[in-house]
Amino acid sequence: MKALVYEGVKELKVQSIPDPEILQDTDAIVKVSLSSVCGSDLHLLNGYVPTMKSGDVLGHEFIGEVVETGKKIKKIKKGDRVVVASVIGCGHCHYCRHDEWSLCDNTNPNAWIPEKLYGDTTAGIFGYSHAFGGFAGSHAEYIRVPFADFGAFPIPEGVSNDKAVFASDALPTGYMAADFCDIKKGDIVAVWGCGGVGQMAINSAYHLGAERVIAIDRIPDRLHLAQTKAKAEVLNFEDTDILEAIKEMTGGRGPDCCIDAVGMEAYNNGADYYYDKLKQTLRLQTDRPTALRQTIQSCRKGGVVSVVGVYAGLIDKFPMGALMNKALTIRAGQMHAQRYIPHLLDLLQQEKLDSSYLLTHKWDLQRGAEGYKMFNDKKDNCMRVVFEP
Amino acid sequence: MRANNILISIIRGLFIVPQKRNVGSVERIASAAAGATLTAMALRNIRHTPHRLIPGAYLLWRGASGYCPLYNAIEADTTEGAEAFEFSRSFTILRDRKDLYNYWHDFNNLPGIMEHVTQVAPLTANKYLWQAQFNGQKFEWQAEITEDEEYKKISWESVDDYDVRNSGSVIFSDAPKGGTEIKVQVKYFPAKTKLGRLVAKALNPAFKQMLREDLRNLKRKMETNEIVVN
Repeated sequence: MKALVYEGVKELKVQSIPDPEILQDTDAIVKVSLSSVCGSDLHLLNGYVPTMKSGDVLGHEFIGEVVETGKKIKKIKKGDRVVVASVIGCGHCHYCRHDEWSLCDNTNPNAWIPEKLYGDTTAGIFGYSHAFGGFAGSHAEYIRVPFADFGAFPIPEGVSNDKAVFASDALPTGYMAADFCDIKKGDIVAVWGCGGVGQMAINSAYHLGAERVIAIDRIPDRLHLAQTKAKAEVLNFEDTDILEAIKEMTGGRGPDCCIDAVGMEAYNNGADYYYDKLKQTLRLQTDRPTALRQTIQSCRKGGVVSVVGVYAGLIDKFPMGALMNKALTIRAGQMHAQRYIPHLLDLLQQEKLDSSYLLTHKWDLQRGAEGYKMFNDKKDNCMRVVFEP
Repeated sequence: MRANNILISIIRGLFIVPQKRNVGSVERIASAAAGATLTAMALRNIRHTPHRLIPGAYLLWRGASGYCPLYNAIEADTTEGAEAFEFSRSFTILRDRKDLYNYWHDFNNLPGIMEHVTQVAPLTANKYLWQAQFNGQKFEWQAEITEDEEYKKISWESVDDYDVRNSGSVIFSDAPKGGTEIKVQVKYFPAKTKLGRLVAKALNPAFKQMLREDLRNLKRKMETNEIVVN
């Protein structure tokens, strides 16, 4: 089959590789119909997450058709149109039973790597480096889905493929970010980053009862979409002093909840960006936390900082004093897809949320490398390129 | 360790029958010889200075028994190849203590979760022949069950004169929020040469990691009935 293969930092190529096979009784094979790029892929592609190997297949946000099932598969069957959670959960361990699927104990064959890095293992993730299991990703014609009874969800009638594909990752991640905020009547939420996850976080915050949502980015078309599609009040950090502006917009208090939907490759136009970039280049820190610093600095006293942008390792100049003295709560995590997907599919069916506007480009997988370059360079108003293998 | 504690350990050590040896053979001969000389000298003046018998008698006893309470107190050991490596690893597994005990107790199951163990064959009711492969090299040893407390603990010890000398135990206890805490303690004795000790020291971290991975496989198998592969 054909697949988009990682060959080295910023090097991708479509290659012919062997078809996946059922390896365990709880596996399914899914014929991929749509597979999206994700901002977190860029961290892998740009060499900021170690343990990528030449030959790895990227992609973790996808939908498709079940074409083969292992002997013990009960809930899904051949021919089902399914959306698959990007994190793999076994369904049986303490964490899966408590709906904390991205913390699954049992689905990372390379559990020892995160154990060394983070002190404990995390769940396996499709196409997301060997630290997260070394599973083949979805930018391919077929994909093997382990523990498919827990990770693959039939897509209900009336939910188009263009909407459903984002129920795999961007939508549940954004929804979880808003869910972390524990939104109450009258709450103001601020969202850093207006990419796919940020857009879904804005929509979800409103859905969960936020009074106002402020969105921060620097790319005009993303801000435009945040404003028109998600009804956010927008701020462009290239021409605005964010901390000042947010204070003014919130009666001097600061937002009740601040969401970091940016992560480790944050950009801004201040001196701290160059400081972080230099330290990251010199490997003195692995992540650039400029957005995270702003969320903590801006948040109202006693508020919640919700981190769903991806961090991989160490950061520098973390405003611990602000966090402590303002008594902030920080909540973070890879998303627990399996907890949210059934509810989100219902909301998509009832048209209470819309995710389809994230899809700005639908391309053949053959143009995979070009698609990632456009997405990385934020060209051609690209929010998400979605490949049709 | 404080000097007081060492002294107490020595005194206590003198009154117990030694269970193990911790003095090497050359040192035992030297100890016995020195003890005999001191004793002979002390015997000449036994009426005036009977207390001078004590050091000689102690060294004689130390040489004869091969056990030194001082070494025991400071955890020293000069017997050939006696430097034991010891470690333990705990995992919490979401299954009943009974199920885990039963699974472990059926030693046929162990090659399925232990990456390097190829076979565990029963020889008698309590004795098993273990076969393992590590880096293409085959090893085997016999081990005896020394303690078997139903649903709580299994201990084993290898029978002498095999390449791999080890002992250990697996303890099962209820975890506070459900499931079972399983703790494996392993002690192994490297081959009786200096080189053997060096090799064992170098491999020690790998052995620890191996035990961790084997227990993780047990957890995967018991919780999901599968050992995940990528």
